[in-house]
Amino acid sequence: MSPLPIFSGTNSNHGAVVPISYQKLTSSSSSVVFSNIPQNYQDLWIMVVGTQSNVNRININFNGDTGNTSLYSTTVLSAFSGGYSSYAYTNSNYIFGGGLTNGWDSFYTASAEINILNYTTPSYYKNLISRFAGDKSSLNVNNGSTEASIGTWRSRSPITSVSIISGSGSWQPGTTLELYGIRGQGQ
Amino acid sequence: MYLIASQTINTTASGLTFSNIPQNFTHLQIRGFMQGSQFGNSTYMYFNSDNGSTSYYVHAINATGSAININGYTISGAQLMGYSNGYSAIHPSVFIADIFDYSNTNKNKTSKSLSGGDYNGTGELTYFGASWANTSAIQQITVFGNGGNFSYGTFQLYGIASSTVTGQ
Repeated sequence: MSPLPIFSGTNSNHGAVVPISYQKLTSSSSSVVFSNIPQNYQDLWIMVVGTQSNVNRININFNGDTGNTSLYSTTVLSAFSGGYSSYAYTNSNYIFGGGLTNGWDSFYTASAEINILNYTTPSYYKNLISRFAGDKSSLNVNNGSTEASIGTWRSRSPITSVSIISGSGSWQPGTTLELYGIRGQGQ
Repeated sequence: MYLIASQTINTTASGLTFSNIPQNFTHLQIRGFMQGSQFGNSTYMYFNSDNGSTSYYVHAINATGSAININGYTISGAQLMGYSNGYSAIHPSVFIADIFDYSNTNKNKTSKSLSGGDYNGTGELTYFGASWANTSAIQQITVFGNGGNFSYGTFQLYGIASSTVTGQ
């Protein structure tokens, strides 16, 4: 069975959510790149389900500017079994915050949903609005968190590639990453 | 999910209305980005022309990067966006809101919205839940800025369909 619906590119009955790319890792990787992103959608929607080698942050980069994080910033709301916090990451490309955010092993995966609105417009900075959940069975401060974040890439360049980066380790085999386009008017 | 309508604000406007909403979806979603005429204004939506001051119940959890604020209140609309209605002409704020069972006449209507804007140290994120104490089917949605106009914005209304697999 195909992991995603097959899309012909012309079927208007497909709806507004159109699968663009699907990757399932067969070996560990520090980052996963979606490149040559079509420019004919309103928004992008990325789903990540998997684990990292270390419990750490998730980072993002656009258009290959991996050495330049000064254009990124994020505000995070984090809830964990020991409490809740809000973080502001300035000049930083973190999507999600503190070291509690990622999956644990092949049985306890974490999931992240990342929305990138108006990713092609040359008129505005780009906004990300995201959610994350990673839990382990027992209630302990170190065993999971639920987070939401709002982020900005202070660039007006259309987004043509997205890198989803493991904070200080690597994405583990079996991790899946899906990229969808959200249709807007006339798309 | 299917696009129902899209509206763009290019010049200053107090809001916009989605009318004649089809009744054959299960849920609705609105995705928007905008800048308000005044930074700090908030954004609401009301249904079927009901903008009575106590018609809606809202609960919010707000994160500022250093603090978390929790609140609940009655107000004239279901809240979509917190105080950060866009920062500049090139730096908008965004929200994604879901409205559940909008055509079901046996229940009051509920919505949620995840929203905010990040301005490199002065951002905020707010998660809203809201209810409209009314069982009427939602046929019209008006999005408006509370305390100011929109300078620009784009808003898409989507319908979320029932399952084509189960037919439910």
